[in-house]
Amino acid sequence: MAKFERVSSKTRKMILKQLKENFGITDFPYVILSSGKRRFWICPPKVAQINFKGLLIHSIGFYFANIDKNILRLSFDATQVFANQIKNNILEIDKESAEKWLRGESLQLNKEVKEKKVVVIKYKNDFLGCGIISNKKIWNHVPKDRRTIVELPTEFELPD
Amino acid sequence: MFILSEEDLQKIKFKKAFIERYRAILGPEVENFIEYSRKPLTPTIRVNTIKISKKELVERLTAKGWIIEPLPWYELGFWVYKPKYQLGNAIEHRLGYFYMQGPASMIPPLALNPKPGEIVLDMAAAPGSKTTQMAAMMRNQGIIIANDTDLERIVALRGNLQRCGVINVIVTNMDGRRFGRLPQKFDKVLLDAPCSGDGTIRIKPHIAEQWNPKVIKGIAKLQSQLILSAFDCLVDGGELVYSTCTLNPEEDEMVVTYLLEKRENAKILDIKIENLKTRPGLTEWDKYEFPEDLKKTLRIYPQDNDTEGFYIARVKKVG
Repeated sequence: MAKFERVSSKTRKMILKQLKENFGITDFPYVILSSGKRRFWICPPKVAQINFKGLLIHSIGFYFANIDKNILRLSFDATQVFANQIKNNILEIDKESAEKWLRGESLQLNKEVKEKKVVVIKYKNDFLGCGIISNKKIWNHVPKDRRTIVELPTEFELPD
Repeated sequence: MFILSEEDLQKIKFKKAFIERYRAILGPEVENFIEYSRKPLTPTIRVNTIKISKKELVERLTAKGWIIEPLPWYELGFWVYKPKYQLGNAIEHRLGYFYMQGPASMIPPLALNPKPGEIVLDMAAAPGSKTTQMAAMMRNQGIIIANDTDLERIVALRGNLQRCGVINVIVTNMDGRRFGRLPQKFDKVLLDAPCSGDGTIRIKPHIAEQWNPKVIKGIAKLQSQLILSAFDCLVDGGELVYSTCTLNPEEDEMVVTYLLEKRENAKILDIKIENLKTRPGLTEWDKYEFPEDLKKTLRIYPQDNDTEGFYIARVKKVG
């Protein structure tokens, strides 16, 4: 079982700044916790009213982001939970690319992007998690249990 | 939720004692009960409003050729007539837009009716169908403590909570019988108790073949301990919903009667779910008599709404 701790006010500020600048998320009334240095979880403020004495905790809240080399990457599910707020760094892709992405493949870019950055992948109305752009590629972070692993009938696929 | 073929279900060999027990409750209607226990359950899904609206999901699925129809008693639940199998592969499932949940399994959270901002305990939560439903009802506000004793099942619970975007949750891994002695108290508690599962033979036919009254006695003892713990961890004025997917009186009315005998401040409340056919809880069975108030509890037979079988009781802790 991971140990969950509230992040420091400095870390919280850094996370809120990246949420705003990289994704456009400003309405974020949550307690932010960390389980290890790189993974962040959120929970409503009501958590402060819980008396933890005697509770054998497995996990707290929702895994919403990961940080790697100072880049905050929203979890796959966080991109859908905060879909209404995400406005920045959205990369819209076509159906063929979306199918590749959901199979867990990284996407090739036509041009070199100098600075490593995070993008939110979108196909039509669906947010499909974040990718990290680096070395002419968008690196895939779709969790294994959400990937397309078998040939699907059309009624199970992405909409046209 | 596994969907079995009619052919597989027709092969079920019901034990004589099982049929006789349900004959004692239902009379000649037991034939109907057995007939429905041999019918495949039409798959059902629940819209996960944390991630998508009902309108958007319905439009999207119907545009892809799905044939769905709302459950009469719950606007966010849908029968799925086409496609019939492997709905878990659908992109909408992998994105957490819907949860595959049995049609009667959606009822206990409706009876509890958790509100945004409340502190709620789901004492036997895995794999999380009712926890995720309650989180959506609470609009991800307040706190749900989702507990289970089994660490392997907690892995499935965590996966479903994450997929459905549940933020207002603390997962605990402990024996539910301990909650009653802890300082944390809850506005509402759902105890969807571990049970013999007689109501789910349509999904798990081995239950009929392995049915054993001695095992039921052991489960009923655990359920009695769990219901006391669940009641004791309520705030004054708090509410408990006790549910099982069995229609065995030992696991249902007898457990609730045990609570009423042990706790004078436990009061049975009515449950009103529109457009759902229900029958009142029993007030007598075999050599036992139960309080009149047990009529306020609900028995849901498979043949009444073409669902799994369920039993539901709603209890208030009077301050």
